Amino acid sequence: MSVCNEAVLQADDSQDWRRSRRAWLLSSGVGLGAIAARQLLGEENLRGGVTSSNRTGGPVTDPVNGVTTLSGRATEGVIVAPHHEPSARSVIVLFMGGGPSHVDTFDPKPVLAGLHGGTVPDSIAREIPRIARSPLHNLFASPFRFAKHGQSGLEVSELYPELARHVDELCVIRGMRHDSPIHAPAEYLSLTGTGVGNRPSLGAWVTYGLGSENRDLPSFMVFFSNGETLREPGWAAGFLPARYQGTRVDRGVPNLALPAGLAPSDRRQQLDLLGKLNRKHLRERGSAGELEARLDSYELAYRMQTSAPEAFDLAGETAETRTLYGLDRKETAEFGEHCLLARRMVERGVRFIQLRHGKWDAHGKLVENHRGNCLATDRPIAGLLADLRRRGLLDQTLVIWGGEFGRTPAAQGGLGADAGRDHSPSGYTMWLAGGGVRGGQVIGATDPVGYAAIERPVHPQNLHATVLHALGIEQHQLYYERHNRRELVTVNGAEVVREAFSAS
Amino acid sequence: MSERARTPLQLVSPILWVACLWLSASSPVGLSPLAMAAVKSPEVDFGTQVLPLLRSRCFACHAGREASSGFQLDVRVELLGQSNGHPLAVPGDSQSSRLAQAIASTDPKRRMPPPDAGPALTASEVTLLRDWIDQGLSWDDNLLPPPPVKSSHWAFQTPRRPAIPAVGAIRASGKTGQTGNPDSAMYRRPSGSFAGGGAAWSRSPVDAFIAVEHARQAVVPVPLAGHRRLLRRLAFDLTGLPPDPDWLEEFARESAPDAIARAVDRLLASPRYGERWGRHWLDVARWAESEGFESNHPRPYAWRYRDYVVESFNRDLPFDQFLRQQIAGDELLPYEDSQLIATGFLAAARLSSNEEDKALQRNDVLVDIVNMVGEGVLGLTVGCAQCHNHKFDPFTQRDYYRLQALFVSGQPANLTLRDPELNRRYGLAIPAELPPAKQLAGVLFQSARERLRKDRLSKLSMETRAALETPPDQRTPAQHELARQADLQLQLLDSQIEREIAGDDKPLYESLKKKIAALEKQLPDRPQTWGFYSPRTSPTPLEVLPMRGFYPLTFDAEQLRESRAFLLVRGNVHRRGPVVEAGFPAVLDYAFGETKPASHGGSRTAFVDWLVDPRHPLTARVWANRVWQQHFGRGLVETTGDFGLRGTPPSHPELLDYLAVDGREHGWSTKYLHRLICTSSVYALGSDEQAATSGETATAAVTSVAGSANDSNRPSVEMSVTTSAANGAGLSKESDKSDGAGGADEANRSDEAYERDPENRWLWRFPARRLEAEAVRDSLLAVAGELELTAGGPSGEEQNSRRRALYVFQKRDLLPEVQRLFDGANANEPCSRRLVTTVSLQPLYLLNSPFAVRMAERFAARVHRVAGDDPRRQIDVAYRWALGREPDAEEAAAAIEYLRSEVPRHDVVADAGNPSDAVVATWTPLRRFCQVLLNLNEFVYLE
Repeated sequence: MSVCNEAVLQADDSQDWRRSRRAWLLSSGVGLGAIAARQLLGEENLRGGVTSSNRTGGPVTDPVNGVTTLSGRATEGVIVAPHHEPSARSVIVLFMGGGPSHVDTFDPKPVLAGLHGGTVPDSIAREIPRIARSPLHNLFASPFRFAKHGQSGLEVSELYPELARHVDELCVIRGMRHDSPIHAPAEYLSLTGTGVGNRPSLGAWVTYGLGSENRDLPSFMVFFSNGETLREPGWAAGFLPARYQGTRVDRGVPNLALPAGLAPSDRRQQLDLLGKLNRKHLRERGSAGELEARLDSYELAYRMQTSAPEAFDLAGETAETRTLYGLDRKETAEFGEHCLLARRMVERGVRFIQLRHGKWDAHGKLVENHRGNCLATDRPIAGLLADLRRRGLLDQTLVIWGGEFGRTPAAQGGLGADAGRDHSPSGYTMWLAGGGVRGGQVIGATDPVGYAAIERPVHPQNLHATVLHALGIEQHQLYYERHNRRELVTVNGAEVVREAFSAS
Repeated sequence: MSERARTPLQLVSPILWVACLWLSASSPVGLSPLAMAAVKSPEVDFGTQVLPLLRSRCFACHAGREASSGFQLDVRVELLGQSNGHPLAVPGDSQSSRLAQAIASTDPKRRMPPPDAGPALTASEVTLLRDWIDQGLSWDDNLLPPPPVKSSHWAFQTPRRPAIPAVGAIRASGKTGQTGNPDSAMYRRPSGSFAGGGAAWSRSPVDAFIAVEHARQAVVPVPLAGHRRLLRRLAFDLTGLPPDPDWLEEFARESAPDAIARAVDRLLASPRYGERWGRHWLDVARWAESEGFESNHPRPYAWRYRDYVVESFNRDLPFDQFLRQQIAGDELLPYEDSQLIATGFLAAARLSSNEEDKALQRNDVLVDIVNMVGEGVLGLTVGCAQCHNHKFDPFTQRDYYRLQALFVSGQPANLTLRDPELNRRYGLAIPAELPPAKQLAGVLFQSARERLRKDRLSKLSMETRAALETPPDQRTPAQHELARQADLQLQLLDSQIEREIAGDDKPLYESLKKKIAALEKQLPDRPQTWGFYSPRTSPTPLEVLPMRGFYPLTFDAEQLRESRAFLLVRGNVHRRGPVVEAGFPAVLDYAFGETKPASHGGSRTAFVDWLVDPRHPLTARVWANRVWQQHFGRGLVETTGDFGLRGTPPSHPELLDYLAVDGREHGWSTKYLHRLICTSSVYALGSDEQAATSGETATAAVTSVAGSANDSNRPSVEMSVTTSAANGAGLSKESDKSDGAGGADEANRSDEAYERDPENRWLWRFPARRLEAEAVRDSLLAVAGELELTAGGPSGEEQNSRRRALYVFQKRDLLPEVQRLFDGANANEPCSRRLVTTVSLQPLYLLNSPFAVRMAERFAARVHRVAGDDPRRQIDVAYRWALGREPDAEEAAAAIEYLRSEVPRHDVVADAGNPSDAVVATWTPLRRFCQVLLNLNEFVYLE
């Protein structure tokens, strides 16, 4: 066995993200024994999704892909070595479901003040794409004050006072643009690349490509808060095997708690018997890869039961940290907790984390809506950036903020207290931070009233290419064969927003 | 195809003609459209004028399949742009024809032919081609016939019944010629003693094809599975549930020659069969009970289609009729509710009722339907041709929209049913005051609607109104866009209409509305189904009930009747190319020989006629392959939904054709195929990758019916006869643990088979596989004694239901947990084959979820009721129920040790949320042991 391990170590020394897994296997030696060793060898043969040469079992082969699914035993992705030096290892997406208004947060439009109540000037109207939901009348100047912040002097509205202190970390993309004014398709566009909702979500792709650094936790986690609508495609695996789908963990990993009355020692004893009987079965049936994987999945589940509660347990966090994320205030506690958990997950090697915060769809009462939502997210996000920075994690973690679209500069429901804004997919803002991104910069611009991206438009697919780039993945080299087509994250290829990154 | 120009020559004044020639000669590009229109040209003759010119100046580059830049000037439909939406010539309009522009261009970079290919066309040549276009692009198919789309690809040729290979003395005994539904008698065929490499067990035509490959590939099959494992396999495979334990005991003692055939018949006769195999078809039909997309409204009557599918399998509705009802049920006469319900197949498409863009909303549904029928029935990835010609298969974008044209006049909708009993019960439930109240409210509502609509119309610009008044297919692109914008403004929400009701009407309407709501609350829904209906092609007028949604897909019968299919440029619904008539993929015409499918005006009945025609190369093969896939986990063609050029070639092409033709000739009977396959030896093979070593087999007697093998007139090889150890005669009920293996010799041979064919492509063993999500849940319920076998009707919720997973509500994007965790079909697109992935969230579900915990509890209680407190008896009973067998000595020892060991449970209270002593006490050793059994690989694997 030691020979095997040495061989593995030599073969695999460059693979950073496999280390924690291997370290565990080498140190544990409990319960699995020979199987663990065999699996190690098997896994080395599973590189790049190629069928291992050891005996494989039943129909684990993906019918369309011809690639053996890696099953629970491997945390590797199909990418063996990064295509270029990665600037991020993990991704946190702060998804503001319903669509936050860009003209009230990160994209100031002073011109609107002069046009308040008026009509979009023809010169601008010509530029506005023909999207049915782009009313041209009743322009609505932002009721919120903007001010310059940080060394960069980047402008942020009064809605995000705490986040504003971190503007020098933010790369604000003001020219986000796509063509779907409807929530679900727009959300799918933002998170899967097209509006149909049948493609793998970005998190699933990344997990498929890179695997996880921590076998004891799901590698793609999704947290829901503030009544965010549940629409699975944004964290589903699409045509990728189901194992790459995101796991909803806003209430912890599902089915993690032992049933009432069952002791951990009971469970250990159960699993020992289970392992014994399953190994006997395996011996008789021949060494089927899938059966082995299933054996292994029980041990993983067992460890998850030990490690996941620890990962989700905030008791060890200091009062200072809790305050930093706003856990001490009712308004910020829910999202703050998710942000803090996100940091803990990043620390533990979780690859992709999606934090969903709902109810941004301010068709009416924009002021009330956005004041509430920004309050609920401001301190938590600021806390997350500060905490990641001071722990040295921000440089390896790409943080992305935004919704499925922005909101129109024109009002809905009159200009009174009820004034709201409609959906604006043709021009809106998202920002990036950490993960090699050069902060304190603005990329692209919308027209003078904020309707359409007119400078450096960035489609969500471009953003996906950019995320892959940060992770060391060349978008054309991560693919999944299906219907004889090399399916890409970016569907037909997209453009990396290179200027987002620091020159290196 | 041929269209002769109809300009009457005699109308053209000779003087004008001369003038025209002179003008065009002097300045071919300078001629204004007005002048062109004023000048009547002589009729151009395609054969003597146009064709020679095209031949001499164009065809060198722009003809044939390899035409430069893809511009095929030798094919009329290509000139018309019907394969990609980019016409090169627009009949009657040379001005906007790219061909005319290219030949007349003075820019050497644009000019055709290009300078390096020779001089420009002369002015008169340019004029000739322009006239040809303006006069309607006449063509003579005799001189330049449309190229037949041919392909030598195997799947595009009509399947023929192959001869059953002679494997030793195999005898098919002429039974294959039988027609009609088979009866079990045909399985009582004599079996011979078959010689030849590894084929000694061959007992059916299926085996013959398999055995030939075994010999060719030099792989030796493993021994046949024992009784217990075989029955368990059959039960899971055919019904999705473990076999009844008592039956299993009985079967284990069986020695009758027709035992397997009888078992298969018994399982096929069970209503559970349709629930299992219906689910496979529902995967293909991407069926669910909600709309999907944003609002994801429930479809409360989608279950009727689910029940239709289950019943169709149970009564073995011939597959051709099954297709006919599902694809054209609304067109069939005499009208029957069940046929209308069958169209739920088409209607199961996703639908975005929040989509404002009505054209897009409708087109998405049509695309969903065409892609599903393509993959599910034709086994072709037609969806690839939605935006461009298929990259790999000889399948054009035009072919795609010809298929779409079959569905364009119909729409998914809530359709009323006519069943007298349903309607009688509904009628009884209607309070007398409801109809008049509804009528009055309706009048108020409609008049308000008209007022509001008129008002909105009057606010539209003149141009917009003109655009709206122009019939859709005559609109200019600008008008099309205007109409689209206006359409949105004219969509009235109910609330807007209600606000329009004013004056005295207002309080009246409000009170009526309240009253109606109160009355309707107690009223059941009208008897209805979620189906597909075309007011154009259906001879039966059907009543369409409203559907819910912010912007529901409105059912406008008038519009549907007039709707036409267009080739959509790059698949964009707002970029209409030429009109396309309904038709079938041209590449498949070839298989039909000289007879071309008749013109049929978009009738889906004609489409099904074509699909089930014996000459059709795909339908029967795709069907037989799907059946095979469900039995063996992998199709003979592995890419079940792609028989195209890039699909995997069949592993056993002749077997596939045999099953397709034989199945079709046996009345398209799916149960016939099951019987054919399930009574074969290859189906009964052991599933072990290696034959057990001799140490393991020492106690296990070899299963055989050698005693009856002497009687050559009766079927003999019903159970396993191992090739090398057949001398170990005698039947044993202990045979299952080792699959009746035959010692080291066997082990070596199967090792060899493994080395040669690790993927088991040649089926030297039965491929074991994990149960599907539904079967995992159903088996837990069954073993726990909790399964409620009520069939059909509305679905229940996952947590509370004790019914089969099939009857748990299928909400798109939020499917039941067990389906999400265990690779269920996602219902967003057809699922031709489920993947198997293994993740640690699965064990967490099977160990800790409230459902799994409850099942362990009930299972243990059930075992205790029968076995009492005797641990040995408990183990025995639990094993029989969970795994269909007794434990062997090793297992029994481990289990006894487990049940007897008293591990201190000191950590109970601290870690399990301080449960009371009573709760702690419920986790008896038996219950914990029972939970272990329900988590065994053997429990969740079909072996």
